[in-house]
Amino acid sequence: MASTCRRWPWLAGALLQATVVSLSTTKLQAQTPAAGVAATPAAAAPAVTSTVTLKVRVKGSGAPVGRAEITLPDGKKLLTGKDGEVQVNLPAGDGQIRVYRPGQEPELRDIAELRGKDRVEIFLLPATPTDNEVIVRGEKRPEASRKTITIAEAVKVAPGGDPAQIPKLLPGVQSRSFSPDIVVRGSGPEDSLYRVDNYDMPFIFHRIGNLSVIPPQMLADVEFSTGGFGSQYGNVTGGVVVLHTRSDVPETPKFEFKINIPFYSALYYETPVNDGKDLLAASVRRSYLEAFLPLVLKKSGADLTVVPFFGDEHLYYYHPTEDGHVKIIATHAYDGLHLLFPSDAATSPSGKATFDFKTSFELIGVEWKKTLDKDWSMTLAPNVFNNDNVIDVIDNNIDVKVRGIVVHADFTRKLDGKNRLYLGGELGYGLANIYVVAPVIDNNDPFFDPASAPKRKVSETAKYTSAAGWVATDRYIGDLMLTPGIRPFYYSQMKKGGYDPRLNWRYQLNHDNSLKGAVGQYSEAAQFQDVDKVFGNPDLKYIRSMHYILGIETAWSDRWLSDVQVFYKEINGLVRSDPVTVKNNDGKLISSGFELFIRRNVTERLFGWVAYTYSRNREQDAPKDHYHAGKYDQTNVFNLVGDYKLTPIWDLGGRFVYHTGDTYTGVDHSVYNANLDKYQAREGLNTQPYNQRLPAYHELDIYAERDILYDTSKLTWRFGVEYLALQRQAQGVQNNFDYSKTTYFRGVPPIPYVELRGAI
Amino acid sequence: MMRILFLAPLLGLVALGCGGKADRYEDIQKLRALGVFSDKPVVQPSTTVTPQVVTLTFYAALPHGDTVTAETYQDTATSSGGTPATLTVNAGTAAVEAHSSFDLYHVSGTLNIPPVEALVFRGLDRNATVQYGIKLTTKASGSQNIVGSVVVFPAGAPQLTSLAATPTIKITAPAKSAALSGAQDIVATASTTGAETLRLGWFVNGGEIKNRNAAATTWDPVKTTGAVTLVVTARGAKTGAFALDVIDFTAN
Repeated sequence: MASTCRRWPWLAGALLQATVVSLSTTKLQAQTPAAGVAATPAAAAPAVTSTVTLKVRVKGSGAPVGRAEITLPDGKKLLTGKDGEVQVNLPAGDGQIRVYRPGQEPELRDIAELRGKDRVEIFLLPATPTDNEVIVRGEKRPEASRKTITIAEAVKVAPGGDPAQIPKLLPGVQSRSFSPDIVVRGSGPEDSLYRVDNYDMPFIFHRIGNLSVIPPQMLADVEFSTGGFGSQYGNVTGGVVVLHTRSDVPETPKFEFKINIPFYSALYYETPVNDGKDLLAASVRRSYLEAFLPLVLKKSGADLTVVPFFGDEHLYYYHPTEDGHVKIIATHAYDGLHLLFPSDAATSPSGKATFDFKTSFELIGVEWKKTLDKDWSMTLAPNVFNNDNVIDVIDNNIDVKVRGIVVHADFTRKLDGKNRLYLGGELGYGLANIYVVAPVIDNNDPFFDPASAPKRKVSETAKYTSAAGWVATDRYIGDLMLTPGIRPFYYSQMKKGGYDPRLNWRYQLNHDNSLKGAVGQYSEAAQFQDVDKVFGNPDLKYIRSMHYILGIETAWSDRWLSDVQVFYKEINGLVRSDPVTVKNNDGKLISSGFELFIRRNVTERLFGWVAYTYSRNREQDAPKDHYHAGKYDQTNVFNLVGDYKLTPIWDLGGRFVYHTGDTYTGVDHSVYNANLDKYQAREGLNTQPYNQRLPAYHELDIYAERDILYDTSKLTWRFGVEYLALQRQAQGVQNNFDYSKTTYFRGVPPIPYVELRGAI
Repeated sequence: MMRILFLAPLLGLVALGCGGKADRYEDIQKLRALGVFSDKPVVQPSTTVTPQVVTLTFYAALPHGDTVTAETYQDTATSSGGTPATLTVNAGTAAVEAHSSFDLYHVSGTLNIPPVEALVFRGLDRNATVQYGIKLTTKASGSQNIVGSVVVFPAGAPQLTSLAATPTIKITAPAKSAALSGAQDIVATASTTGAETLRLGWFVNGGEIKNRNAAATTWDPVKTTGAVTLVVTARGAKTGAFALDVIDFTAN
């Protein structure tokens, strides 16, 4: 209901003034009676004609507005309670009451309209956003290369609105449009750690749909580190992405739905429970692309059957206590794909080959955070999981089932002043049932063809254990903070352990500037298949990397801050194919570069950032080889991201991405393989791997969001266009059948989309 | 957390059928290798008493009026697991068989199989491979580097019998005398007594074959007028044992 505003009749205004004066006088006399002084007779108080209960709520959600200010015609102010309610004694006569809360538009109501009613609900519209106040995020323990992005920012600008893909837009990261995977300072997608709180999910992204498995409504922020991270994280040489779950309880239940044609729909429900002290949330997402795609393919005449599907379900419970909290999460996620396609490798009379893939996991985790005494606090986070993977490709089969338990424990001790001691440990145990019939992959064998290579068979049950501990301390010496730490570890597939020493430091130059840096060793165990006795080499060693980081952070104002870093990373012991031992540790990578991050902090109106990375990644495949360009080597990467709230119900935003083209290995000539009836590429004798480069890539994605507010519900329409570019961008190269012609594989044209979300 | 990454390289198999092609594989417009026939689909290692020799016949489609020279070819890349051997091109064995749209060229070569100690036996079947190469060069139609391998089993292995068969293949539709036009159904019948499946491959001059690896598929469109030639090949999935059939038609 639109608010109305009347001009006061001059007489009413005079009467009001008189009333206010008399009320004030009465109050004064009541407060300061003096013995023997006759009190001035008080002016008569205005007559109360009725009493009404006002319930003030936010339009669009119906959430009660506590401490909303009710101003009566006589100037008297009342405040609503936590439930948004207040009892108002309506004075006689005409007039208006004003209802207001910062962040909402004021609402005026005529007293005549309220008179005679017991209860009236008043819905406040959101106010025009201001740029006056920076929304403060919680402070995190500083680390050299860590960035934290709130969920509110991430769902606006991240690809697909998926918070887990926000790292693609941050410095130090290389990415590709159609993949959620990231390359962090030269380290491949499998060399970074993704966690939800303290849990390693078997997979964090749906392979079909490229969304993360956790819905954004359950998250609070995304923390990302490109290197130099503390000793609480390990077994990776790249970066660390941590999705933190929420730690707040809503005041009212909320139901949300999302419809994304033609991909998937999502339902989400949250409610306060236990007398409003705890949060219970549930979520379901499911694709329906498998219903649309066959129709599209049939219409296009493609001789192809594609049936992809994905989904996930979650339950989340948050129980705050006086000295901490308990969180429980239960997750089930699955992906699948069935393909039937014409293939040279097909062995059936139809000439078609099949590809079937299904992966799923269930995980239940508990996090118990508690302050033990004035000095000690702890976090205990056990989880159990089950993960099934089935892949059938023509006549190759892979069936791996893994179940296990991981217990994570963290202790923090306050020492004197700001000094801290951190101790922790992580124990994992798993059981894997493995059945594989597949060829041993040899990427160095030019005759290698997965369709005809000799197959190996593995059928076994394997147990594995993992153990890691960490000790670190924050030590302040004047304006210098030192954080030395050490992380011992053991991974059973390596049959040996090790330890990683690390040091983070920060020096506060002045109020606005701090120097920072990190140096440390970051080790990673080889993948299970690389140490398998049939498909790999059980004698492989740990992959070791050394990180060196130096940077400066500057807070230019409360709105603007910048972070400039240089880094150098050396990784030794990378796993490579070997004609004798199947796998070896001869590979080496050197990554170095410079990063710039300029951030516009979040206000109601605006947020955004610029991220630029310059890097060089060089690889060596054997000690005697020369260094060559790396597989992941986007020399320049630039991201510009922003969101601007035009009005309380309109948002505009977008992201611009530019990066140097990806590298690839050029083909010098080809041979016809008579056994396979196909042509195979050959490099020249002196051809270096990844000696060619695609053209530079750029992409602009823009959107507008419009909220439609009802009293207790809201619809949000999002209109956008993705993949805007001056021309369709080269995503890769494709060769004709005999490699006599090479053309670029171009990405999709601009894709307009419409998305509808609802909240009740 | 255990991470299993068997998937990624096998996705190359998916790419075989899903990737885009700038031109059609089955369309013969220049010198094109069609396959290699071996007089012994599988063989055992040589011994000092019994050297094993395999005779290979190389088939290629050759545009009318062009000529071919054949020479031994050594692949520039080294292979793991396979044993390179030198092919001897047999002089005087080159021949050209005329067909409507192109000529069918073939030439023979001899491959000496190494002894057991020079071979690497691998895989579930415990077989070795001996690799060969030949280069065919024309004056006007380009060149083809043809490589392949002969499968070797240890003496006495049952596969020396079970996989010893040469397949047969015949184009059964359209009939030899049929006049073709527009979209034409094409069918081939392939068989083998060997214990392996067969992979088929169609070749044409002009038009598209919907699924060149299928026994029954569609050729669309056939050239509107004149002579057209259709080729189908079969090769064993395990041994590469080869057969082909070629038919000339007249399009209306």
